Amino acid sequence: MEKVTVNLMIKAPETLRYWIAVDAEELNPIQGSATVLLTKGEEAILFWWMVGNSGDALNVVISENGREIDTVQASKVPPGKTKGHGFRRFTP
Amino acid sequence: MNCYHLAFIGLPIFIAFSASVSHAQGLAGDISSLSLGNPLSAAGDLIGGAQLVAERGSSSASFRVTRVESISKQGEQAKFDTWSLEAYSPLSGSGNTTFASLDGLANSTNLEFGFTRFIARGKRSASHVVSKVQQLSAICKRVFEARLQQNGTPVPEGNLSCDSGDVASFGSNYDQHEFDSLYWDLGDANRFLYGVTGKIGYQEFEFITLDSEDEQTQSETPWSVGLWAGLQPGDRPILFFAGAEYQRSYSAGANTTICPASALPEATALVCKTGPFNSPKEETKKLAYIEIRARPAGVGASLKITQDLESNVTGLEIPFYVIANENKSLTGGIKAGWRSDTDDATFGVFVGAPFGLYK
Repeated sequence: MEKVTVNLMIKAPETLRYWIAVDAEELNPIQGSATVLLTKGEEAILFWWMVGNSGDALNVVISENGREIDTVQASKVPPGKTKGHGFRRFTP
Repeated sequence: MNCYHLAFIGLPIFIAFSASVSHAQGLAGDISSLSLGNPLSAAGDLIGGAQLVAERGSSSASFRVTRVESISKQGEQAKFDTWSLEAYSPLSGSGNTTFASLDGLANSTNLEFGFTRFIARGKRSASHVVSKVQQLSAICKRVFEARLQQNGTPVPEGNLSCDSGDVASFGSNYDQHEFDSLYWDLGDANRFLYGVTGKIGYQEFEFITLDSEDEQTQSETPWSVGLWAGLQPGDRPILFFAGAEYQRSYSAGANTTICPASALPEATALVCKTGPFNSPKEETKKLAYIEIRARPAGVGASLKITQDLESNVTGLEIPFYVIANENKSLTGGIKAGWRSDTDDATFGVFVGAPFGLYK
């Protein structure tokens, strides 16, 4: 089973607080960047939690060795709420 | 001189942190044309943002960079730390302008360091959520089927993924509650934040005295330290803060006209000079404040009441954020202020830093 380092690049407004995990592993991004070791060819799941203004959006680019695997585009805090969350399946 | 000070402090920040920042236009004179703010942080970059404020008798500019760290561990509360550095400079004003904030450093060019810890209670652990992924997928399927009924968008094939925005748009109330409760303990949703600040400034005073015919100058370095804490009760767009600051600041003497007796007995006219009289006065301020921030639909507002425990003066500030940028972040608005010692009400405009419930 080949292991690969997957990079997560997060973009968010300054008003948004967020947390991310891949499968059961909590990640601690610094300046919106984190890495995780995954098995090549096996499906993994990205989870995210966010707290902020209604309409604030989180963007996550999932890549391996500079090759983009998947992108979460503008996952937003729903209208009238101050929290949001979601998940995305991807395969490195 | 003030613009020079801002550049002096701001330049090292730009270089040291390579922060991205938009540019301000038309700083000369009153603020009339602005393009500011950098609402999105790019991964790996520091977040940069600028703000301009213009109100009666004064205007100011500030630039802020932040560094963030998201911390989440199994079985622990989720935390989000923010370190910030903000450069501030008054752009106009007399040098002894009084502010509704009661901030003794508002007339100085200064650099402020801040640390904030945000704690989100109720965030479920990743191991909990991953164990519920079948339930999450089932909710996504129902949501996408409802979307198909509403707008004809096909249900994606294979294992499904979705977010709270999808569920809020197309899911039933039951699905929304279920989806939310798989990520958060909805009965334990209070959020806490606290922080510390430290500020050091530079202020140059020009004044006149009875002893010298020439105008005198003196430089001072005011400073301030503070701490604060906040609470957001549940999932409501409102926050309550309380904080305190200890400040060592300086104020210019009152404007005075002096007409020294002429040395020439035959003189027929007096030669006078006008300016702040005598050297600046050192002041100690012990500020305590409470603040409420709220973001009802479409606008952002806050109410801050500050009390100077040394001089028993009260200040009141009420900014309203009503102008949104292309990302729908509220980045500009109007502000009103009042202070008890002068009974002076002030009104102004500001633009730049996006409104957030959290500091």
